Amino acid sequence: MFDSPQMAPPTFSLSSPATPTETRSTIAAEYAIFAEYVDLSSNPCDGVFVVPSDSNPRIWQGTIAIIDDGPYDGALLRFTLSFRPAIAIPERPRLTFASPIFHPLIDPLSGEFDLAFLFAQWSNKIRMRQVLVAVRNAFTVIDPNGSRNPEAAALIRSSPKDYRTRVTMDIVDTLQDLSNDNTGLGNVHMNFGPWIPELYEPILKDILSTGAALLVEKSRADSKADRHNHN
Amino acid sequence: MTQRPRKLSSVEESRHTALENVKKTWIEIDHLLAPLSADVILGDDAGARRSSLSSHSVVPQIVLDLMSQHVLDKLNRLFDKVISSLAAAVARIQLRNSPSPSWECMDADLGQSIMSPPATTVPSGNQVILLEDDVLEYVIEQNILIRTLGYSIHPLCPDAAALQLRWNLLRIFETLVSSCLKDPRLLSHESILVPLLGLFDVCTGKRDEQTDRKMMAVMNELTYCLKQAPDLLPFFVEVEPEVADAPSKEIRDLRILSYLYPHIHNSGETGQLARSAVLAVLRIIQSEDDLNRHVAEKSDFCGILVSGLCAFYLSLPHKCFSAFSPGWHRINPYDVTCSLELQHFTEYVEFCNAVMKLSHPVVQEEFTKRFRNHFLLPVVTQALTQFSDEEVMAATAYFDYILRTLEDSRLRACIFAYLVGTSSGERNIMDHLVGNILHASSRLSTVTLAFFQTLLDMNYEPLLDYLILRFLNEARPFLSTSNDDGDVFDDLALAQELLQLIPAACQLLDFDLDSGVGTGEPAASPSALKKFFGKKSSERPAPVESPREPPLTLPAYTDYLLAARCKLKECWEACAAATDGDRERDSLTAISVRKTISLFPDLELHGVNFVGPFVASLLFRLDHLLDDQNIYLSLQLTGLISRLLVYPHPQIWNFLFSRNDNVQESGKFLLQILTTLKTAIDLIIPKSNLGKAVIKRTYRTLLLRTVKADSPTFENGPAGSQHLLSPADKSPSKMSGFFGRKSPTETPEETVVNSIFTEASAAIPESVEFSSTSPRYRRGSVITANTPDAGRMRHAAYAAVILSEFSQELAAICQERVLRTLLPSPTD
Repeated sequence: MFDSPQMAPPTFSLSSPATPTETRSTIAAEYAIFAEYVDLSSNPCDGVFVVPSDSNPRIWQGTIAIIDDGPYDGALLRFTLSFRPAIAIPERPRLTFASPIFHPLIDPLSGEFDLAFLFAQWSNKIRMRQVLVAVRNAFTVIDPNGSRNPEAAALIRSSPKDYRTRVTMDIVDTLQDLSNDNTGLGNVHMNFGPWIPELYEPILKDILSTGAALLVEKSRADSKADRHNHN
Repeated sequence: MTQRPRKLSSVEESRHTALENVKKTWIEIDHLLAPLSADVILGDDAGARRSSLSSHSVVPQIVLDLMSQHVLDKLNRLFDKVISSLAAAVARIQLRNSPSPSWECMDADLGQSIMSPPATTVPSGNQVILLEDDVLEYVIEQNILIRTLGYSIHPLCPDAAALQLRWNLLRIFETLVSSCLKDPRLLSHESILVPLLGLFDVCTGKRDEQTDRKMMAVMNELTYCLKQAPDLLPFFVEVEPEVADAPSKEIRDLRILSYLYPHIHNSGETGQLARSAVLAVLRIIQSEDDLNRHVAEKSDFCGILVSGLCAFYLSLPHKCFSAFSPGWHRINPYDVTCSLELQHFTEYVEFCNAVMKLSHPVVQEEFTKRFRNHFLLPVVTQALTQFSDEEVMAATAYFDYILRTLEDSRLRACIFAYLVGTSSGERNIMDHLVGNILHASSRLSTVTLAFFQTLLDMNYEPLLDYLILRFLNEARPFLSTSNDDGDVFDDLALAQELLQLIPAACQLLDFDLDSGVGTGEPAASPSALKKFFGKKSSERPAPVESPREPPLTLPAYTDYLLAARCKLKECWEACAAATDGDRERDSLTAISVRKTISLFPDLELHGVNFVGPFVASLLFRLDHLLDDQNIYLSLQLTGLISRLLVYPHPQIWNFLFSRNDNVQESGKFLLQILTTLKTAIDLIIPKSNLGKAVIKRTYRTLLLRTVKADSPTFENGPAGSQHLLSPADKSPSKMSGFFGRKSPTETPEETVVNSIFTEASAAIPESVEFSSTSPRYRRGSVITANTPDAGRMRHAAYAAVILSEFSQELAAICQERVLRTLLPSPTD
């Protein structure tokens, strides 16, 4: 039955000793998280990069890159997305930025993003892709009704120009902090450094062509699935 | 000419002596037989008989001599001498290690075309062949072989003597032909080839067990030679004489193959030799289109092969399985070692595999045609549609075995087409077999379920189409559910739901069944989902395995996940690979849905309109898991349902996990059935220590079943996979002593449990009957093995364990399926 020797048995972040029932619900929760990750990686969303933590499958590390005309243009914001341990799917995760950047929805002390503001009603119909897109968009269309940082909310109302200046200062700070690991998780999967064309351009080219191949593959798979459905 | 190497005089001397010995021996033989020689002309038996009868007055005396055992013994001893001299000569030739320098010039007219007329028909007495050995030269110059053959076919030669001569000739040829491996030109020599073919003819006409075997041995040697020198093949092909000069020769007979026909069906060593020679010939003629066309269209080859298959099939025992353990569901390697007939049949089916693998497409096509017309249609159909349950069970098991043993995809496809395209009464064979799923005999049902497991394991989509998809497609308008748009993430919640179906008493099990330590689940390690999900990973930890000590731990949920992943990968890849080249689907599913449904009136109420009789029967059985069902049948049943859910087709998944209220009236779906089961089981088995103990005991019994004991009936190879739901044939009744033992630290619960599982009843119940007089479980009262409550609880406990493991199996498939669906293309 187990004919692929290279396939490892599943291992999960179980706190020992666990009863079989506990084990199964732990596994179920982690499958849900991993399914979200597979969903994201097979259909990535622009400007957001995530990778599960090596030490804990319930934590993702990520970066949001913002390229628009708004105050956050050019920002690279590192964040941690954590799914509560031992709790199954219908539970809102926590998204915390490594640097508490100035924003009405971000707690100025902890850096936690107010997901409850964007998703008041949580359900297991909400995909992480939606969450991350919504968070990214919150930096382009800034909602002054956020209450996590009253100062930011007030400033964007009173003086968008001053708000922009304030944010720019924060962005400079975060860019300087990029190479520091202050997530407390050790192993950082994403590193940032200067662009070295000789080094990175061939890789970029390669990624772009692979990406194109994957797209072709996906559309082929889709049409195959369609054929199945029509039979 | 060639220059002989210098030799030591002693070698020359010994060779000289050898030659003298052979001469002397031959003269003696000739003297004994000479009176038979007059007027015998090879190849004209009738003439020979007439002339010898009329002109030999001394004949009676010779015949008398040759009938005496003393003379025959003497003859044998003389031939022994000749043979050992020849063997020495052959050994000398082989040691000399010289290439044959004159081979090319002698071969001048052979080399042009392999189909040139056989040289034997042309007198070639003047050809000089350098044999490089005096003994061999002598044998050939004296025409010893032809003359001996002539004696043997003389009409006045007594049978015993003739047999003796044939036997000795075969021995001589065995030696000679093996020497041809080194020097194939020897074979083309008239005074070897003519008596060789003549001898084969005679031996074919006058059969004898010993000479048959020897002849097949010689044939094998011959095929080795032909493999080395395929140019010699024309010597063994007979062409129509009148068109011998025409550009394309009409082949009359591929003699080398025809000689083998009478022996292919032999079940002993002769048959094995004949079959291996057949395969060798097929390999030799592989690229000869004309020869293959002759074999396929003109010769009896395919017909003989298939009639052999029929003969071996019909020799199989008709009802041999009552002796097997109650869980027996299909023929396993152990059964084969127990039955000589099955061994012969297996060998023959494997021979057919090899024929299909080695032969030319025209032969393959002809064989497939005959396989269908002369084996499946008359023989298998008859066997599958008998009246006796036992016989049908045996026939189903054999059919399953054939399907698993045949490797060729064309033959398999032929079987599938046969299943659907052959009618027996109103139903076709497939519907007939589907009907057996609900047969009153649980043993026949079990074997039938195992057969369908084999079918589904072939990942053959047209088959799935016939059994399920066409019904679902027809019923699509009624079945359009919210599931159809398919948010795959919903299945994660479904998996959670399935895990909730584990009966309450089973949820309590959080102990190691042996020591009470640990959980049976892998110890907590810093998780690495990445390790599990990633491409490369560390090695699988070695499973606890010891051949004697049964590892009695609960099967871990992660085992189910891993099994689900492997099955999904295999099935999805097979289906993806087949989709492109699939053209048979239409023909298989042309049969009307409506007609099929009408053939299963009993199932009408159970959703047959939507899923067809196959799935409807499975769900019906599942719905009655707690009733009168055989435990092994239940294991086969759950295995089959989970196998269906491994297929990538969303229709099947969506249907089985459908929750649409509109359809509820016409049939229950999987989740409803399982929920009902869980509720019923939870009512019977208390959530107390007693319930826990009963479940624990049941697990033990079932786990022991999967433990590899000294019996080879255990068929689930990989160690460490204590997959409860995987079928195994270990009879638990053999372990019944286990339950008669009193533990020194017996708790009050265990005392009750022991009374439930007394030795007599410890074997898994074949079927448990429920008494309607005691509908209620009397909590707290003493239960003994003979009360209906005990039986009821015992049976419910088995159902509980099956449901527990089935729920986990389904949940695992569910979770793994989500990941596989989300992946854009399988990369692992």
